Amino acid sequence: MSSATLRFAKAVAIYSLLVVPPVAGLLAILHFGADLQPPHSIGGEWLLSGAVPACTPFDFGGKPPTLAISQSGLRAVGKLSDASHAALSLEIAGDTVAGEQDRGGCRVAISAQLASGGLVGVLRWPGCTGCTEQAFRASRALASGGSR
Amino acid sequence: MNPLLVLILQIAVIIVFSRAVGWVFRLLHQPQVVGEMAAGIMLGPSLLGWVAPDASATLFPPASLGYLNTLSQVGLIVFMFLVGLELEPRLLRGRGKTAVVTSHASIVVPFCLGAGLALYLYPRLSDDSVAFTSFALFMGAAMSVTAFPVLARILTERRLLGTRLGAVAIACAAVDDISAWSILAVVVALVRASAAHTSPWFTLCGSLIFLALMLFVVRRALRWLESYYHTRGRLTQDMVAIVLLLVLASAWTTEWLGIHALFGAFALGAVMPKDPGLVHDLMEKLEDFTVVLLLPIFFAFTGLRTSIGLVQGAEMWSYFGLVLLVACAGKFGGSALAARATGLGWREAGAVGILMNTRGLMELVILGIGLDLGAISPAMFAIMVMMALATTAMTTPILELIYPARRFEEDRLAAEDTSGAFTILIPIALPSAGPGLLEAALQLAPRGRAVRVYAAHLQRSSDLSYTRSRLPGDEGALQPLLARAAERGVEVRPLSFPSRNIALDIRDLARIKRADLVVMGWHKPILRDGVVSGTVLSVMEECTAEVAVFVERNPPPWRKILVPYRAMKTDRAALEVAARLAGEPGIDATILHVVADRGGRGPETRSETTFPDGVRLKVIESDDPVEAAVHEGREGYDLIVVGVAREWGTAPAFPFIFGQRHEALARSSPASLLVVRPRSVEAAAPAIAS
Repeated sequence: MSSATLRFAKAVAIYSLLVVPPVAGLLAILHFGADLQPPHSIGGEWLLSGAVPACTPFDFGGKPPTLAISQSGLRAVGKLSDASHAALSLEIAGDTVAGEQDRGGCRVAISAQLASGGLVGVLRWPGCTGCTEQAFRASRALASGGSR
Repeated sequence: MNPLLVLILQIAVIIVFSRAVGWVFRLLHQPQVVGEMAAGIMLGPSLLGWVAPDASATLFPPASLGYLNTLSQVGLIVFMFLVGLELEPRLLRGRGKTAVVTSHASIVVPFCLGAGLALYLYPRLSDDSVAFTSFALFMGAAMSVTAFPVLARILTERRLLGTRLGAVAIACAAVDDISAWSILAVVVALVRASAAHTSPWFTLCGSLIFLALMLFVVRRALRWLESYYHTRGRLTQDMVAIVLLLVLASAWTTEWLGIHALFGAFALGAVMPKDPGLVHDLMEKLEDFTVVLLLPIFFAFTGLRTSIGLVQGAEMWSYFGLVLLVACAGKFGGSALAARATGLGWREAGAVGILMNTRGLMELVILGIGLDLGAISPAMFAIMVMMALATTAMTTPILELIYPARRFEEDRLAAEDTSGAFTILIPIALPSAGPGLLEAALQLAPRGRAVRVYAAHLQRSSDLSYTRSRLPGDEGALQPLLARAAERGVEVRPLSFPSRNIALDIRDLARIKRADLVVMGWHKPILRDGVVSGTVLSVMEECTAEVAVFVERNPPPWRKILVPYRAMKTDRAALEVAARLAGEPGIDATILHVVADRGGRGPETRSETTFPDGVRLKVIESDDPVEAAVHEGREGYDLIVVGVAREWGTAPAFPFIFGQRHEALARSSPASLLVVRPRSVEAAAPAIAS
């Protein structure tokens, strides 16, 4: 075997060593990763249906309230469409979404479950006299993904 | 408020803030881009929105962000074209196995580590709207990118570009950028295909056809543009319009195909002809507007989308720590180990590693795409933005730690053989002055010794932005001098680089090159401090080599030389220089010894003696030595050689008291003037101290 052929073979061997293991590793990562279960996607804008009472810090101006959720894995920030744009810190565990927000002594809390593409739950105003717990159903206003 | 008024106000605030923060970061020896990136984040919810939410809401109302986004996207399209334009195939040629292996490792290792990290982060920071494959590939691409423009800028500022270390780093960065963008195009296509925006086959086939067209049709067609450029000798507005149309068409095509618009802009830049003049002129026309106006808008828009508040609690900060660790381990570790394995020393290999770890705004561009696509979540985006800032900001200090500039210069000097040669450094500010300075320098060199000449063009780094770097061989300002050197058959070593402090860099260059003599020109109009002012004064104060400042009236060779003399220390230096010059046959030297006018009769010649070697000593009584020298200088002299001293009007005095009087020698003398400062800076210190 000539020295040129040997050099070429050596180069091919080194390059193969550089390429094959990483590619194999990447394929293995993609293979194992395909079985991972990430949190359900709740990002996007949700239309809340159900009567929501007027509560001073959470005044929706008589319009149907919306909840815009920006999700980061197991956590999310939900912004209500009230006058003060109350932002709720949400946590996602399985199908359950829960969180609350404290603003000016009047808190809002949400707990909901993902069910057939929508959210079903209750909005509570702990500490607000005259505000009662309200059940709601929410459906997506926009598709998730790009809007989160 | 009227949307236009809001937009104008936003842009003004963004420009002012980004320039100000960029300036502060420059003072901290950081690339300006790091400051601009930080400024963008400060304008977002992470700082302005947190400290002054009302002001933030007034200045950046949500409804106005669409305009900012559009402007920033246009800016990015032009910027990516410029990045592609700056990539040169010659960077990749002949770099040997070090560059091949290191560039490979600098992509593969961080890519695999990034994808591996996705296994941990996907269940925690992503959701089921994103496929793991897209998330993992995106993380890999985001981890493996290197900020080619920032890297090139750091290398040029540290004068590493022409070195083996710089060559390896720049070649790897170029390969990394091309690879990362190609991978990103695949990721974008995958994500969009999974969201059923476009058919994957349409994207795949269309992309292959697009690439083939760019490589085999557009690239050849663009040669016409190059030849037209040479025919016209300049870049016309019509040519700029054609280029911009091509950029837009290319960007539109790739966006339509389902890979991103920025990929098209980058691809067109990459296939553009790399004629240095054409590239330079295109950069000149497009860069300032993009870099000063549009990119800060992109940084601000990125900052408005970055909420560091999302990274709350020990858990989230541990994710950030993990991302930073993996980013550095992959890029720094992978590149450094590969460089070491291919024969670089540990210090050089470490420097390659830290340089490759620079992510800069290229990372922000990729992250923005990822966020738009929904491939990464807002919290992941914030974490990655902080990682990009951290890895870019750490580059300069760690590089200085691993491979200090002083150590590097010593290593480089050790490789050069300067023994025995009389070394002259000629800093050039004005290209047309180059030939005269070279002639002066050659005439000042002692006879019978080998001469080594360095010509340096230093450009203020504040005049250069981070997309433009000076590549070896780009010494346009030195061309007249180099042409004269070629005519004379003299070897001149050109040096060209940006400088934060020109005077200090000249001093350092003189020290590093062990210069015996620094020859500088003096071209500025006479301002307040006289001949020796500004950079020249600083060099005279700082440099330990002999310094000669040349005010050219008539070109060398000189035949008749006048040396005004008042028995000061610096006058001896002038005499020594004159003695060197007078050693040549056919040169007449006159020493004009000006003594005090004791009789109060005004200037009067007391004696005149001609020595056997042809040197004439003329003694004049005068209380005004400058006037005496000027008067004598009108007697047909070619050159006046004078020491740096207030008495000769060649060192700063009190400008407001003496006004322009002390410049009279430079102003009135019909002959060329050579202001000499002796080799030891201490000898001249009292004379030049102001």
